[in-house]
Amino acid sequence: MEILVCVKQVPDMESKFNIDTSGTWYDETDLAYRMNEYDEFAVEQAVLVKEKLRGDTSVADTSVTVLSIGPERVKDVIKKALSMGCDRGVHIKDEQYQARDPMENASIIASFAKDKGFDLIFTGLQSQDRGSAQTGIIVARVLEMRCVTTVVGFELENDVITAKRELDGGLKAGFRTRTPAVITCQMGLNKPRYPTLPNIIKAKKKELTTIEADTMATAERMVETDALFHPEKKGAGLVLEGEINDQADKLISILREKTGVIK
Amino acid sequence: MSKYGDVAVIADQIQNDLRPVTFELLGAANDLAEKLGVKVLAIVMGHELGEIPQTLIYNGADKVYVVDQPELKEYSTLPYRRAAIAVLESLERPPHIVLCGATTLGRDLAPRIASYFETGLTADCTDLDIGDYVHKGKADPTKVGTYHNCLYSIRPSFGESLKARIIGPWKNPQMATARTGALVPFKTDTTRTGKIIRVTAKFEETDFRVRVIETAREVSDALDLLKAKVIVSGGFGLGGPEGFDLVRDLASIFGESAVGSSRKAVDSGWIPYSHQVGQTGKTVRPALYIALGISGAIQHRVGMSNSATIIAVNKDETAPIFQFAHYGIVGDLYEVAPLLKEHLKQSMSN
Repeated sequence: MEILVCVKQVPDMESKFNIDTSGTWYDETDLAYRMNEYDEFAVEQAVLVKEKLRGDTSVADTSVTVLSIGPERVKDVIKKALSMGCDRGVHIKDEQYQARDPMENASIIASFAKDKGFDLIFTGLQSQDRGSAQTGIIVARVLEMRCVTTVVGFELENDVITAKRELDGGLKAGFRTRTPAVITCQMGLNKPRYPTLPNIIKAKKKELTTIEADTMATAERMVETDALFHPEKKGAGLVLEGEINDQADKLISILREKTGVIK
Repeated sequence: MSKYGDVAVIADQIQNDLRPVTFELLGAANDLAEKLGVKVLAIVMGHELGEIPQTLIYNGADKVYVVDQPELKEYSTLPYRRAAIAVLESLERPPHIVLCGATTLGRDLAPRIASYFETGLTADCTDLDIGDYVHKGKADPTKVGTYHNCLYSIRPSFGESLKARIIGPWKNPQMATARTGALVPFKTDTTRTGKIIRVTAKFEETDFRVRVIETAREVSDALDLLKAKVIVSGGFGLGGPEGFDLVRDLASIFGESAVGSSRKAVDSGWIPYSHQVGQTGKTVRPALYIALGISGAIQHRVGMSNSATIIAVNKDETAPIFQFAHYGIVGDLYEVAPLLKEHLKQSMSN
């Protein structure tokens, strides 16, 4: 079985972001980067599938490829995925990463994947930095693969997938489909492992190839960032003072005046 | 007749329950349509939809397109895609703008519709507007020019620390999904009238390649954070899972209340993930949000900062939550919360 995992490197979301001179991106100096959190669930799920199939003689060996698009630094997240158990890494070197829209990124992934016969493609539900939640879905459409998004439960029996996805309002829906399929992963699906030292060392010997994105983006850019700005700062609130019973009373009279929750 | 196509809203409906975002989308769609001088269309898909089309008219739709077929009883991507496209293709001219909720359903469906029309889509917006755009052709010289009355999709980027204005005026419809709780809902008016138009979708075998087995409510999710008027949330400051007894206790004082949680409390295994408010959890906008022992990291703030009134109780006076809570009490939550409950109880019985 051939599995592809698509991961993205994102800046640490608790960083302080300053808008750069282009006005449509941020100053990357001194920022810490990490693997997009949702993609960690994708890596973990791919490795779990591989581990489950290991020893099953009815299927050929399972191999997990991890792919990331971006500048040189994204190799760090590929290496992390390799140390979590992926077999080989593919770095799609792209200097236009700041401007790419989901259609373009999906077309790059599809160009890579189209003739490789992947049975499963795992990716995060969305990225933490831009949060478009579209790339995986468009990859599925372009490659004409089945697709289940926002997955919080995943089982594979032969080529039958039973997946659970989150809906709104506290609902969950069970789905059944077959490979080949794209699965976008939501928090709660699994608990991503921490790479162990021996596995980090082992990962250094794994294959990591770099290819250029230039000719792979076949889709037209349909959206672009016109401007970035800082949200208006709300003034800090009122911290109540005085004896604790008085504070509670004061708060309740505020609630009575300003909200409809106390009748 | 306006130069522009109408503004269409895809109603967010699960198990014949119109999700709150639908009314918010209709509110924003009315503002956009007024600026463009066009009408607001709603598209609703499902089965045995009953009064839902009429509800959409009362809440801001001028015309409602209904696809009511048994295949649409449960949400599934491809049948819903087929139905939405059947409606959009039946229109005399394509809408200028199509809006969906940034819900599980909307974020699954919208890219499929965008993909069909080969148009752009901006996800998870918190504000929408109409304006002009001058394209200087940095990336694509063929697009140089001034574009009028484009959809401005405004959304948080890079955590919540920056906002981005995103445009894609080259092709219609221009599309966006909007986050629940961000836009101002249309004010219900039961005297409004509008047209209800029925459309039939022709499904194909391949639409059912992914089949729904069942849709179920998990017991622990009986609450609906997105509909609660009051949310009491607990964080790492609770000190342990038993702290949520206190949270539940305080929440129980209010009608239509729910229990929320910070990421850290979920990660610690104190409460199921379904309660999590924040970037990786739910975005809520209740009338009152009470945060007990929550520091207010960006991760959490993203999900609740639009609440009408925010009260924070935290013993650390430097906690970031005091920067955006409307009212704060610096103190031990184990002392403050029971006291608040007692005072509230008295106040409510008076």
